[in-house]
Amino acid sequence: MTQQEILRLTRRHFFEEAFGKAAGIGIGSVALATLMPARLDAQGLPQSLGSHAFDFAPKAKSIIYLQQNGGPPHIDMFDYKRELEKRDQEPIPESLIKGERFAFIRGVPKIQKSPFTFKQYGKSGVWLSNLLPHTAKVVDDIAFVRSMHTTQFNHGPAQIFQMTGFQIPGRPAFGSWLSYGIGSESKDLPAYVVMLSGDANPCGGAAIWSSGFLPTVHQGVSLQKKGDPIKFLSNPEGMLPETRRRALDLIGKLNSQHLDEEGDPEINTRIVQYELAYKMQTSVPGLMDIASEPEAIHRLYGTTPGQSSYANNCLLARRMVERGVRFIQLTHRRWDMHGATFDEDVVNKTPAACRETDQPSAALIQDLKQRGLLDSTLVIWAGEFGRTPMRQESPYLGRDHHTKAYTIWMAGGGIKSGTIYGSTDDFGYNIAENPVSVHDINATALHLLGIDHTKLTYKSAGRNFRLTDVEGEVIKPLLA
Amino acid sequence: MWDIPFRAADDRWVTSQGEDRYRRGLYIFIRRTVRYPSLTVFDAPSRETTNGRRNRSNTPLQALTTLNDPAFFEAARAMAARIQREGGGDSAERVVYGFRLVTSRRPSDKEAAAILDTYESERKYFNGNAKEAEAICGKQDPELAAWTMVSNTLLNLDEALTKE
Repeated sequence: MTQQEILRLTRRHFFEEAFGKAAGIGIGSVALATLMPARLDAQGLPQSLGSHAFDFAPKAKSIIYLQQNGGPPHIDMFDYKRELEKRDQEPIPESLIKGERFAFIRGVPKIQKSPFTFKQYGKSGVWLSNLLPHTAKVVDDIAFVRSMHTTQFNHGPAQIFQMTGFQIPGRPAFGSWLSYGIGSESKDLPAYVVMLSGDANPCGGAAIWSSGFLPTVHQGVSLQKKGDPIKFLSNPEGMLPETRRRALDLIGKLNSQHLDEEGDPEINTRIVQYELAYKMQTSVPGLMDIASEPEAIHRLYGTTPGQSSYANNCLLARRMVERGVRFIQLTHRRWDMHGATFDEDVVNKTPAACRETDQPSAALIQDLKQRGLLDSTLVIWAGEFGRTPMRQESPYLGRDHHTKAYTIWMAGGGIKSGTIYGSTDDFGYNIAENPVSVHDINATALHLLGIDHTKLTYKSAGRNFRLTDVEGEVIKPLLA
Repeated sequence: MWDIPFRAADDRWVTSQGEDRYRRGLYIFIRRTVRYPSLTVFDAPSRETTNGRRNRSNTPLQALTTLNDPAFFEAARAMAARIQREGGGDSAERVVYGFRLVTSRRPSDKEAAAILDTYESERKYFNGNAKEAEAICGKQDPELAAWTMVSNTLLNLDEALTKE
């Protein structure tokens, strides 16, 4: 019986089933497990329950998803193409772009070589541009997928597709599916946390951490950059924590008396959630206080306490993994570069974006590894699409959105390290071998978390839905 | 929150002043792309698709909202003033009055005793902490501060939030 079906039962029927039947088990006990997002463990601490049993032994416990918002230029960072240098400024072969629609490019654009230099690194001999000196140090821990493709050529829909598996808002995001499926390991933090940095908030908006049709308890909690990281985390101004504690004691006492009389397990959930709220009031400020980290860690990540930055968010992500947060989503909006202005020039903006993300992303891998957490944490670095190997007609050097081929990387959590998977043609325009879709990546990530992506479903509007819709293959060569 | 993606000056959401501040939630300005947070935590539909049935949930973020959101805390302050004004002369009567306001029933003896106990100890506490009392109820009035905390408590009872 699905959670939806249970909710359709009337309350009275529910309790008859739960407590009235002689056996005392049946729908009731299933319902209790699904309806109650939390229960008390042996120590009296709230524990979150998932609704999905593991399909196989999980390799990873948590996912850190580094969403590179705007479309990083794969040919300027990861996918070195000599052909672009040879044919720089020639018109792109018309056969490639025939019938293709771009967000901005019209007519026959010119080939644009990368303004950056490339070298090979690590055991796999992966080519990286000089913009990624820190990533270069950890390539042996990373699997590069150079044959990604997507279906959406505008930022908003592409990001929503990337995070929810569907381009129109309204479906649950990846983290929500995990929160719903396997619950949280944390006793005092939400299962799904979102942190934003960069130029602005993501074009995809809150849809990229929405719980969609799943209960909102599974929604990503987006930490605010200013004031309370979580809305209303602080007590009303001037109220001391002890005063709040005494009020909570009375709430707990009266709710317990009420529970004794009514026997409704939702009252118990309420008691548990109020205690969890109180725990968050004390645990979240501690979690956010990165000033307590040693100097060496700040040097590794390039962090400055008190700032709001991608680097700080990477360090916070590691602290959240240590505290059992299931899905941590970073979104860094900095990668859109059409060449309309000097600042939006590929030559200026790519290095700027890499300066902000290269060191912290690599530091995160190193730091997780030195703490023995990399094996149980899957890190995904991915934009919503790549950028064209052709120049866009603009005052400065610009590249348009490119959906047919781009590069992402994954590390840890059961991923085969030091791997390069897939390749593109001579221009970095089309995929040459082993195409990988967004659904394939999501299926592979779920697999590493111990979930068969075809089995994690939720019934809404008359049919079962899943993160991978009706597609997705686990990419076996990426598994360790 | 409203800065992005709506940068136009007249597109900003401003906390209402005066009478408008206390209008019902029904009148909250709705913008589908940036939803009002206190409604979202209580499962307000996104309005992106039609919605036959609202989700039910019970989360710590809801607890933080009803405990600390200024809209809810101001309600507790107003309720405290009303208890003092209309709840009768002695504290035991006022406890019953406040409880009935929220739950539409009389408290059991056990419940009334627990609330009265808390009220008395809060009053004593605020007697010695006049500054905190002022932060909580706007005046250096230990009784009003204690009733504000009692009201904040009553408004957060499961019975106040959920109809069984």
